Amino acid sequence: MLSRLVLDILKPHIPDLIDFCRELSAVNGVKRVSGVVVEVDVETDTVKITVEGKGINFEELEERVKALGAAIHSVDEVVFEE
Amino acid sequence: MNAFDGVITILGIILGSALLGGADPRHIVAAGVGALIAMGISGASGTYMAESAEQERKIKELEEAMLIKLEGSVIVDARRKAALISALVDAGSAVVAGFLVLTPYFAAAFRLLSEQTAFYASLAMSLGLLFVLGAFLGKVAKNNIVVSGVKALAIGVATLLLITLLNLMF
Repeated sequence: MLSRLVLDILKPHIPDLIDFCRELSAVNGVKRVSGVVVEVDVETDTVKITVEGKGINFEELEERVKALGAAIHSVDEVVFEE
Repeated sequence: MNAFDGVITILGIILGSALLGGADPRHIVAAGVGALIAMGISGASGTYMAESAEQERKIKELEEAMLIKLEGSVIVDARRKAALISALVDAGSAVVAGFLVLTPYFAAAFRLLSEQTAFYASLAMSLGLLFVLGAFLGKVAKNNIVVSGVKALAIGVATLLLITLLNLMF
């Protein structure tokens, strides 16, 4: 079961990191979301988002990120556990 | 801010007709309502077109920065709704403010008020409303409320003077 993901995400300034993480925390299987701003640009922010839970639905997470106007640039860490 | 347009337009109509020697209150109501409907439509469509263009430009800028299409995202949704809401608020405020100032003439049309009373009531309401709008703007800008109110009032008075002056000339 997917239990931990670290994602490198490019997102617009709005929604801000708080709303962004709150939206992702509503995804099936997600129990904890934390976010760190890595870089701030004119129109965008690069953020590192850590998602933890039990049986994280990655497809749904991806969809949610897209709906928020952001893009997953890379998946930097993955943990599966039983 | 479009409330200003509504008030000043109605002010022009009532003053113009009063200076012409008075008109049937029903005619003033008809002229006023006609002007407000036209203003509502022009305000809504004008604001919507201008706002849409601005919002679409912002979406494109963001798409270029993000290097992805944002169609279907909450950002595009929110920006498009924002254009619609500002159009409705713009048009609505002008129409509501105009109707408010016109109410004494509605009363006069039903013979509840004399034409003279309706004129003075409407005049007082428009100037009062201008002051309140100015004061409100002052509050938003965190400036002196009274000074800001008086400035808005001055616009109304300038309109009055200009119309009176034109009437004396022709």
